[in-house]
Formats: sequence, C-alpha cells, structure tokens
Amino acid sequence: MRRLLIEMVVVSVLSGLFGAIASRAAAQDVSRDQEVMQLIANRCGICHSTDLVTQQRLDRSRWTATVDKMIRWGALLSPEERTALMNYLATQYHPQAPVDVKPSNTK
Amino acid sequence: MIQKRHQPITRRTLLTRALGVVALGLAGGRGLIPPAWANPEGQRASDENPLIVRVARPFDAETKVREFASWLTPNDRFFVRSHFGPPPEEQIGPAAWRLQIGGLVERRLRLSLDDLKQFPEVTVTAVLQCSGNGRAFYRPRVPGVQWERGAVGNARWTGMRLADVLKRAGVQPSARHVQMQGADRPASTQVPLFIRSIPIEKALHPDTLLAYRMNGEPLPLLHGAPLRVITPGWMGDACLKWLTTITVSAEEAKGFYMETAYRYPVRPVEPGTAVSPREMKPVEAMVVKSLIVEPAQGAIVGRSPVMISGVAWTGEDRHIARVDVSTDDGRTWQPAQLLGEDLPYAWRKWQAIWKPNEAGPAAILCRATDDQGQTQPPVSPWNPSGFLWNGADRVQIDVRRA
Repeated sequence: MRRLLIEMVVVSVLSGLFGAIASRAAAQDVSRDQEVMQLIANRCGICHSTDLVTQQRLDRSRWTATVDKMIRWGALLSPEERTALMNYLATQYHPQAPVDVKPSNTK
Repeated sequence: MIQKRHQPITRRTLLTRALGVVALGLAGGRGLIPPAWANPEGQRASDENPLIVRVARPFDAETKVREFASWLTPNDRFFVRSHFGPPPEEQIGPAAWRLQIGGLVERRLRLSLDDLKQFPEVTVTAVLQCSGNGRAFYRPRVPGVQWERGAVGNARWTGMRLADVLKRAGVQPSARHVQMQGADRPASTQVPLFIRSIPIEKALHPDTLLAYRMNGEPLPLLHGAPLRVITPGWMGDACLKWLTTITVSAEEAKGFYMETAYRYPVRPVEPGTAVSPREMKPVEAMVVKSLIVEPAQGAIVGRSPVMISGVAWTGEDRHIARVDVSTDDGRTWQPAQLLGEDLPYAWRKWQAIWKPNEAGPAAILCRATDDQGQTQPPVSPWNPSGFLWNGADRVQIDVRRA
C-alpha cells in the first residue's frame, strides 16, 4: 500500500515535470515559428504576398538557394534570421508536406 | 530518417495551427499573427473571383478551365502573370507614355500610341500561355508560381506589326536580336529588371505584333496597357507588357531574365538535377497541348451519352492534326472530332461522345498530336524551372448507377 502510494506520487511528480518541460518546449517552438512568420510577412512581403512562399514544396538545398537569391535581391535578413527562416521553410514546406492543390475546373 | 524528422514537426505544426486558430478568434488583428497571414489577400471566396489567384501580389492568377468552353477567353477571365505588377497610371497614360526604338537602327524613334496607330492595323487570334503553365505537376517539385491548367487563353490581338515599326526605324545589317523592356518596376532596386529579347527573325515575322487591343477592347491594364508584345506560337515569356523600350542589338539581352530564367535544357536531364544555364536555351515555341473542358474534374454524369469537349493548340508553324480521348485512364484511345476553322496560332475546339458502360469512377484523358507528329506525352520531361508542361490532360469523374 505504502509502496503504491510512493509510486503514485513519483509518477505524478514526474509527469507534471515532463508535462511542464514539454509544454514549455512547445511554447518556445510556437513563438519561434511566430517570429519566422513575422519575418516572412514583413521582409519577404515587401515584394510579394506570402502565398508565393507557402505554395512551394522544396528541399533544404532549393530553399537555401531561393532564400539566398532573395537576399541578393534585397531581402533584409541577418545571418540568424536567414538560418531561422531556412529551418522553418525546410521543415514546414518540404516536398512531402501536404499539398492542397485543388482541381482547377471544379468551380 | 524522414519519419524521425517529421514527427516533432507535425506536433509542432498542429500546436501552431491550434494556437493560430485561437489567436485568430480571440486576438484577431492584435499582432499575434502577422496581418498578411491572418487575412491573406488572395483568399477571397472563390465565387467572387472569376480567376484562381495563385499570388495576390504581384498578381498571378489562372483561368478556371470551364471558361475555355468559349473559344475566345474573355478579358476579365484571362490569366494574369506579373513580374512586378502594373506601373502607375501617370507613366502609361497617353500624355507620358512613349515607345522608344533604338540600338542598331538608322533612326531612333519615339512614338506615342496615336503615332503607332498610323501603322496598318493587324489582328491575329493567338493562344497566349505562361511558360510555367502546369508547373505544379512536375515531380520533383520546382520553385515558382504553382500554375496548374489555366495559365493559358485564346484571344484576338489587334495592333501593328513589330516589323513595320522596325522598318520605319531602319534595322542595321548587324542586328540579330530585339531587346524589350516595359514600364513595370520591382519594389526593391536590387531585383533585376525584366528585360527580354527575341531573335530578329521572330521580331520581323509578319504575325509578331505590338498589341493595343484584346478581343476588340482596349488592352486592359493587367494585360500590359497601353501596348504589349505578342509572339504568336511562342510561350508568354516573350510577350512583354507595358512596353516602353525596344533596343535592336547584335546580342541577346543580358540579365537574370534571359541568362538564368526562362531557360530549358538543350538535352534531357535527370529529374531533380541542377542544370547550368549554359546547358539551357531560352524558352520559345509552344509544344502541342490540349485540355478537357467538359466534363469538369469531379463531375457526376449519367449513363446517357456524355459529351467530352476541349481545346487543343500547338507551336509556331504547326497545326493540330488530331486529338484522341481515353475513357479508361489511358488503356484505349478514340479519335475526337476537330471543330471550327484550322487557324494558325489559335486553339481548336474538339469533341467526342462517350456512352459509359458501367457505373463508378472513371478517368478521362485527352492528348493532341500536331502535323509534325508531336504528341503529348503522359508526363512532360522534367526541367529545373518547370516550363513547357504538356502531359496528357486528365479529369476524374463519376458515372451514376441510374
């Protein structure tokens, strides 16, 4: 009985701890994503709307080439912002990401 | 490996989306979600917009294939491709706008639209097609506007022959190319200007026009008002809009849009590989292509005879010889009937009647063949920028039981 009680306490403390860590990590991920979305809207958005970005499905090397081309063309990105943007694009809009390409003549 | 990479991303994506929805609902415009994401300019209710918007700014939008039931594509339904978007009115209005012709000519010219209208007026019905039409179908995927089937249209273009204007200026014998530039400008000065050139032979071709009317109406702003280039039988990359400057030259135009972009491999390449621009040549003539207009993708048809119809077109100096239709996903093919006149550069309507034998899902395909024996392949050869897609068209429909 006593052993069971100890186990229950340990499990609940641990799960609380892990839960807190996990949710904190998730919150950090979310805020990092929010920052990159802001970057895309504010820096890429000077020349084009964000739909041009989100319709691409590219691997990391093509994203790198694309972002670097845009930096050459005047996109204002610090080295840290460039890395963050590339990581976001390569994980969010990679070739296997879901595509909601709709048939064009259904409407 | 891929699984490992994707697992946390998926969770994070879900969380982001969930929070995004909450943020949209609760915080709306309070800055948690950037405004451009919270209210994407392109995502209006599709019924409001006669076009399918691919990029809201600069405006890129394709025509719904159902519109091609009309042989001429209406101006307000015609696809739009913009590199930088229309220039301000004060630059292209009649008071300010002039066409300048220079370079390897005997006489430099500076002409108003009224001056240009003194040249003999010519009308050509021609298909205009974005070089990247169908880019979304290439695998592996390539960067660029993800056009599907509708970055194409057929219109009556009225204007004067580029050849007549060039003859007035007097082309010098060393001329090999005609460089063109429009009044549109990028938001950032570091973005290369959209400068293109065409070989002198195409520029002097009697059907190459400087057009100021489209389907009988003044050329609309989105389509290049007051004047654009039309190179019948060639892809749209040569059909410069808001034209202001023509420079006759010995060389192809320099710069990104000739030396790097709008190029196609000179020999087949392995899908997904990088290709040096030196191993590529400018995109020019169209390739044979057709579309199924009816039935529409996703249509439900009965067991009574079904009319299958569409359009077909091909490149310069070619004619559509035949269109074949398959109602069993490409196993067997039957010839369709070609309709109307066989005009150079315009598309040709076609139709076939099909009596479905059984109920259930069915895939209808069409493929055109031109008089030089070119036939649409099932899948077009992959190329790094996804140009010249002409894979056989396909619609998935459902045949009702009754």
